Amino acid sequence: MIRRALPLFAAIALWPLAVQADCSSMPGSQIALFSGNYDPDVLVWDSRHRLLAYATDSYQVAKLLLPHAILARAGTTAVVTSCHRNAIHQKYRPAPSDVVGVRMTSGEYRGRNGWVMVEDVHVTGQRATHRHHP
Amino acid sequence: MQAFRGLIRGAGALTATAILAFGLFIAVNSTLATRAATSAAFERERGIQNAQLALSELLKLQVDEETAVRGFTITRENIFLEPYYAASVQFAPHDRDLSNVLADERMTEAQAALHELEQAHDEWHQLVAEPLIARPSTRYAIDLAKRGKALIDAERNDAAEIQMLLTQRDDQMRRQTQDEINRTGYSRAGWLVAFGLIALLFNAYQSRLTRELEQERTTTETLQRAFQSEFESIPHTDIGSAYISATRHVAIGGDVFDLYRMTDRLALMLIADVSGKGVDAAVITAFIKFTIRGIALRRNDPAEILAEFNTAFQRAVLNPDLFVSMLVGVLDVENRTLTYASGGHDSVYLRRANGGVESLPVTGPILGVMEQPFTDRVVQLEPGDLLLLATDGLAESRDRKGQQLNEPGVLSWLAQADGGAQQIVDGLVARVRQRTHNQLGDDLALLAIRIERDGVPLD
Repeated sequence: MIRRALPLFAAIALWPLAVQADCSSMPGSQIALFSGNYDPDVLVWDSRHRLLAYATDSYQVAKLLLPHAILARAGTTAVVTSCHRNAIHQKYRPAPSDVVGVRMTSGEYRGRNGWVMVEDVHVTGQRATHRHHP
Repeated sequence: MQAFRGLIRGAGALTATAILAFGLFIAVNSTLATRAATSAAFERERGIQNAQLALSELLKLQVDEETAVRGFTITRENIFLEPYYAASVQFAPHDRDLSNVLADERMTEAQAALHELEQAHDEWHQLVAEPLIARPSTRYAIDLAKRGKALIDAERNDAAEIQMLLTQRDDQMRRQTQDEINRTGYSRAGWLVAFGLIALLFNAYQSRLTRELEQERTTTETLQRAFQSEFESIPHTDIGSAYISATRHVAIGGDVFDLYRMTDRLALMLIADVSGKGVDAAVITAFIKFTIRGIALRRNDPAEILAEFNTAFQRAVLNPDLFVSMLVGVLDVENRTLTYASGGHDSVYLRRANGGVESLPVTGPILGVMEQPFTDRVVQLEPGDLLLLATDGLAESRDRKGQQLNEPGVLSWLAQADGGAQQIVDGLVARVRQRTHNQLGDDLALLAIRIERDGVPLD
């Protein structure tokens, strides 16, 4: 019975790795946060699901969710803690986007965890680069 | 193919021309319709591209506004707000242009996205930009910045959605235009092939028709030789003749003359005019010529010859509309006498050597109408006298005003004519051509016989 259940246990144990396979950001990577959008500051969300709702719902929904986000200044450094591949499906984009879990390592929110969109994540290598938005 | 031949043969070149004209009309109409459709498609494509430009302008203005407010909140210097106010003024016209195109194209989804973009933009102005400009150091600045970020993201998302829909519509328009061009190309090629085939078939039929006409012409020329009016040389006479058909390209018609020697001293002369003209009438003239010659082998009396011919003609020719005027004469060159019978043929003239001119009266009815007796008349001829056997194409020749020459005119012309028999005939023909401007209304046959003095030419 245990022998038969071993593959199932193995699959469950390896699932987190499986969802991270081929994700754009590897856990442990040092990154800097800044948005390619006109406003370079980055909204960091306390929940992956709120991030998904913010990215895919209307502004009316986004407005209600805003208290659950912090606005990190452009250039805030962070470390990737997890990555979910193809999690966001926006109707006007041809391909889905990844969502990335981060722990901020600089700025006023240093030490806090949160979730950002992969477009706001820029890998800096072993050491995070501290960049400040004017 | 058989049906096509029947169609072409039945209605002739008119049908073929109508088919080609119809085809041409279809081709031109199709081209014009395609041109209009393509032009409309290009116009719509231009509208879509203008909408994309307007959307780009809106985004650019949004950047200017956002950057200006950000600069102001950091520096507190009013100069940073100039782009903000400038962009605010320019936003509405571009928004209106974009809105008009979306409405024209009935892009309801994009219209909804634009409406949300406008709402987000207004909200950003009222709830983010204006409060920050009024109080840059407010304690709510962080909240305003978050809301601003969310609104900018919302505008970007709406703009991205509009852009995607415009791009889709643009692609769709291009595909439609390309399809229209392709369809027109194939259609035009099809028409070209169809018309080419029609032209080839028509050309083939024309070639065949030309060959048939050539064969008919060869046959006609052979028949013409059989039907041709002719004369043999007769002692003590000078003879000239002419034959002109009123039917173009055909040297035969409904008139006929004949002159041949019966014996050393007797010659049979004949002139006849069949009602109608062309090949049908020519067939009757051949019948006349050879029948009269056959009868003349047994009879020397012109009245009897005409009477027998009249009977034969009415039995052989069943068409009640066909009749013949004819003069048959027997010329005795030794006694210089002409014995003739005329079945309604009043175009035979005698010009005396002394210059007097007269026409020889008819002696019986037209042939083919009724069986009545004919009588002979004997005319004593003298050396120098000239007999002119003509058909009504001479007396009935019309000038430009439609006036006929009539008998007095013929007598006048004959009195003025000089030279040998052939010269006189040629002169008369020339005057007829001149009078009618070469547009003869009827066939014309002329046979002139001038009596010589015991074998001595007069001229």
